[in-house]
Amino acid sequence: MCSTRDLATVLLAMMVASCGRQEPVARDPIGAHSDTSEIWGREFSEKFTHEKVTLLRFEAEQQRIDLTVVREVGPHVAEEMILEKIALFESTFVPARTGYPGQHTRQIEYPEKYRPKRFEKDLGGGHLTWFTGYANANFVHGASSEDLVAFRALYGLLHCPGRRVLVEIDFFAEPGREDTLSRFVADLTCDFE
Amino acid sequence: MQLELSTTNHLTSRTDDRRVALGWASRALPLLAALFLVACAEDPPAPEVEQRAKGAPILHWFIPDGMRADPELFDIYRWAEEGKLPNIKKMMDTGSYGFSVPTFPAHTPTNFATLLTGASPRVHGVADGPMHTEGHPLVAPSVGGFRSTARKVPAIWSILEERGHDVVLLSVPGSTPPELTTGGITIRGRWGGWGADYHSLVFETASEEQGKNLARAKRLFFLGYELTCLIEPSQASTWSPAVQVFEAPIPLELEAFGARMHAAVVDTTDDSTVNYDRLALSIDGAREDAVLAEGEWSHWFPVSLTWRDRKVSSQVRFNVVKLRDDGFFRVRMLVDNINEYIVAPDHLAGEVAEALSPMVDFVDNFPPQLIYYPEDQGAFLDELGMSFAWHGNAVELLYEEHHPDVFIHDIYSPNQMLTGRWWMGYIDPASSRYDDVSETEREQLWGEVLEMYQSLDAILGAALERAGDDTVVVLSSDHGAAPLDRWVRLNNLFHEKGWLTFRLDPTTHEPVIDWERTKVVYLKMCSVFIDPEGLGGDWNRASGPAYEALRNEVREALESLEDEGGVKPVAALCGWEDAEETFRLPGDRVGDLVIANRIGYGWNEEVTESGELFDVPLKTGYKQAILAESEPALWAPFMIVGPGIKRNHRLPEPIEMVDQLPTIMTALGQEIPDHVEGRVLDVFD
Repeated sequence: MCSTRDLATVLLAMMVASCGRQEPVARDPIGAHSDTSEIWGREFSEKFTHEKVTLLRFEAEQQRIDLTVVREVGPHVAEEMILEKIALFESTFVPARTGYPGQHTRQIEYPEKYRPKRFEKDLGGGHLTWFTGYANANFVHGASSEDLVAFRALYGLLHCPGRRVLVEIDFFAEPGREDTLSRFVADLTCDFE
Repeated sequence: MQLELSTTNHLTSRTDDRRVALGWASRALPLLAALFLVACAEDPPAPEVEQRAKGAPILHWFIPDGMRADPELFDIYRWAEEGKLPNIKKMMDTGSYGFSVPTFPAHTPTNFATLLTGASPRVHGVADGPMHTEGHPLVAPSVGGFRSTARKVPAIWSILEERGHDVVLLSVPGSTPPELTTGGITIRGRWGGWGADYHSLVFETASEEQGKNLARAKRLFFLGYELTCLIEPSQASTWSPAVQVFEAPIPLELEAFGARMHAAVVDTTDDSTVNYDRLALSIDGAREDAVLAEGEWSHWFPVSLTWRDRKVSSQVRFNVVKLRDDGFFRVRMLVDNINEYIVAPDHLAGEVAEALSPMVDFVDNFPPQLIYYPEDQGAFLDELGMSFAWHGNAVELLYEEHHPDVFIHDIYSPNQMLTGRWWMGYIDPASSRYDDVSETEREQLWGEVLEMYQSLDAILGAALERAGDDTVVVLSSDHGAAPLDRWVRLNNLFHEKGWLTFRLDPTTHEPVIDWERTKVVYLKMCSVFIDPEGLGGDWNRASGPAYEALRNEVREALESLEDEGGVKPVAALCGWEDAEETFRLPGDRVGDLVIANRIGYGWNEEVTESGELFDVPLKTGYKQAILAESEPALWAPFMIVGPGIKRNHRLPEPIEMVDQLPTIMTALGQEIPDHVEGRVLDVFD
C-alpha cells in the first residue's frame, strides 16, 4: 500500500515501479523481450509494465533509448511530476558539499562544459522539456570529465495532454555526434501508440 | 594484550531509543539464542542455511562501512568462536572466511568501487572522495568519488539487473544518481550528490567561550553546510513555553532546511536560584511539543523542509545533549534521512515511513560533531542504537515486501564509532592515548564496541534467515580503522617553505588560499598539487625543468619531515606517473605527488596563522591513505557462504578487495566481467 500522499506522487511513483507492497513483477532480461512497440521510427522492447506504466528500451550500436510511459495522467498531475523529475535531475549538477570536506576541499562543482543545457519546445499536441549533457559508460547522466564521457545524453519529459500521456526519456548516443541528439528531438511527437 | 570482551548488552541501560534497537534485535532472539547455544556447544554441528520456500535471494551482500577485522586486536572470528557473534560463527561453519586488504587509499569511495567492480582505482577511476581533473580549478573538485557518475565500469548491480535480477541497494556509496533502470530499488546512496540528502545538526549557545573551543571545527563548517549551528537567543521569537518557569526563558529559533522551529531554555525549579534545567520545544510556534531535560530525546515531529524550492515532508527529533545552569545548551537534531527525493522509486519513501520509524542512516556526521563534550558520547551511543535499529528493520521490511534477488547493504555507523573520539584511541594499544584510561574504563569501551559488532551480527542474522540453499551470502567491509595520534598540516609546511600563500577572509577570518601565488598545495586525501607558475585558474598538469625541480624539492621536504620524536609521517610517496604502478591509482585523477601517511598520522588541509605542523586531533581513529598491506588495523572481513563454497574454511592469507567480486560472480554462476582484475579465490569445493 502506498502512503497517504496525493495522486500526483502516487502516479509519479508508478513511473518507475509497481506501487506498494505487491508481489514483484517479473522482468525479462535484456534481449529476452517478448513485446515490441514502434515509436518514433524505432522498435522498442518492453521491459516492464504495471498498470499504466510501461518501461521501453531501444538499443542499437552506440545508442540506447529508455522510455518510461505513463498513461491516463491528468494535466495537473503531469505538471507536478515534471517539476519533481526535473528537480531530481538537476540536483546532480548544482554545487554540493563534497564527501570528505576539508578547509579547502569544500564543494563539488560541475564543470561548466559538462553541465546539461535545458531546452523546451511545443510539438504537435504536446510539450517537450529536455536537457542535453553527457553520461558515463553505465548510462548515468552527469559525466563530468573527458575520461568519464561515454555518451552524449539527453534527458527529457514529453507531456501529451490531449492523450493524457507523459513520457520520461533517457537517450544515450555516441559522443561527438551533435546531430544525433537534434535528429532525435526532431523525431519526437505525441503521435505514437 | 588479549582483552576479555564484555557481553553485557548496554542497549537496555540507556534511553528508550536504544531500547528500540533492542526491540529489533529481540525479534531475532530465538534464532540468536539457538545460534548461541550451537556456538557454545563442545562439538557444534554445522548449522544448515535454511531453505526458504520461495523468494530467497541469489545474493545478499552486507558491507558495513569501517568494520575493522584483523587477526590480532579485532579478531572477530575469535569473538565468534567465543559465542559473541553467533551469525558470524554460523557463516564460519558453513562457509569460507578470512581478512581482506583495502586498496589504496584505504577509505570508503575507493574501496566500495573496488568491491563492487572487482577492479582497482586505475580501472574504475574512483581514486578518492573529492577528485580533481585537468582543465578545472583546484578550488573545487570536479568529480565526486561517492557518486555513481565517477565510476568508469559497471557495478555488480548493473550487471545483475541487466541479467534480469531484481536489486535492492540500501545506503550504498556510489549507488546514486541511481543506476538501476528497470524497477530496482535504490535507497539513499550516501553523499551521492543526488536528491534531498538532509543531515543531522547540532544547535549550541553562541558564546565567545564556545566559539574559541570550536574554532577549528567552525572552520570546517563552511559555506552554509554548518553541522553545528552556534545561535544567539532570539529577539524575534513570540512563542512562550507553557511549562511553569521560575526564571525568564531564553528564547531560541532553530532553523534548518527551510523550517523554523521554536525552543526556549527554561528553569522549572522553584528554588530561588538560576538553574536552567529544561528545553521546551514547539515545532509550529504555538503548541508546546516537548519539555526535555539533559540527555532526553523528544519524539519525532512532522515538519515541512525545503529542497530546491520544493516542500519535503519530513520528521525531526531532538536530544538535549548538554544543559547548564547558566542556560548554555547543546541540542542534537536528527532529520529523517529518507524522503521521496532520496530514493528510487520514490514511493518507497512513503512505504518505509509507514512501516518503520524515521530513518537514522548513521550516527554523527562527517566531520564528526559528537566529539566536543563528554555528554556527546551518550548522544552518540543513542544515535548508534537508532541507526542499527532502523537498518535491521529495513532489511526485514525490504525482504518481506519486495523479495529482491540481490540485496546489497551498507551501514556507515561502524566507521563512525571506530574513527570518532571515544573508542579507538583507548582500546588499541598502538594509540598514544591508550594509557589515558583505566582498565575498567577500557573494558567498558570494549563492551560498547563489541555491542556494535553484535548489532552488525544481528543484521547479518536477518539476512541469513532469508537465505535459501542457492543463496550466496557475503560479509565484507571497505576498510578497518587505526588510531590517529597526530594531524600533519602539510599546507603549513608548504607555507613555511614559501610555496603556499594565504590570507584571512576579513569577514569570516577563514584562511583563503591565494591560488595564483601558491605553487604547492595538499588537497584531500592524498594528493599534492605542484606548479611553479602558480595554481590559479584552471589546473593543468605542469611539466618542464622548473616543475621537476620544484617537485623534487617538495618530495625532499615531505620525506625529511618528522615530528619532535623523530618520526617521519610520510610512509610512501610517488609521482603521478608512477601512481598506477605504485598505488594502482589512475594518474589523471591524482596530484603531482601521491603521499601515504604512516599509521597514527593523518594529513590535514588546514593552514593556520600559528604555522604549527603537528596537532593532536580530538578524534582518535582514522584510515585515510595508510598503506593497508602492512597494517592489519586497516583490514576488513571477508566471509562467503553459498552453493559450492567450502565450509569451515579459513583463508590462509589475507585477500585483496578486488578478489571479492570475481569470487562472488563465480559463486553465482555468473560470467566475470572483462574489467575485473581480481582472482577467483580458492573457496570452492
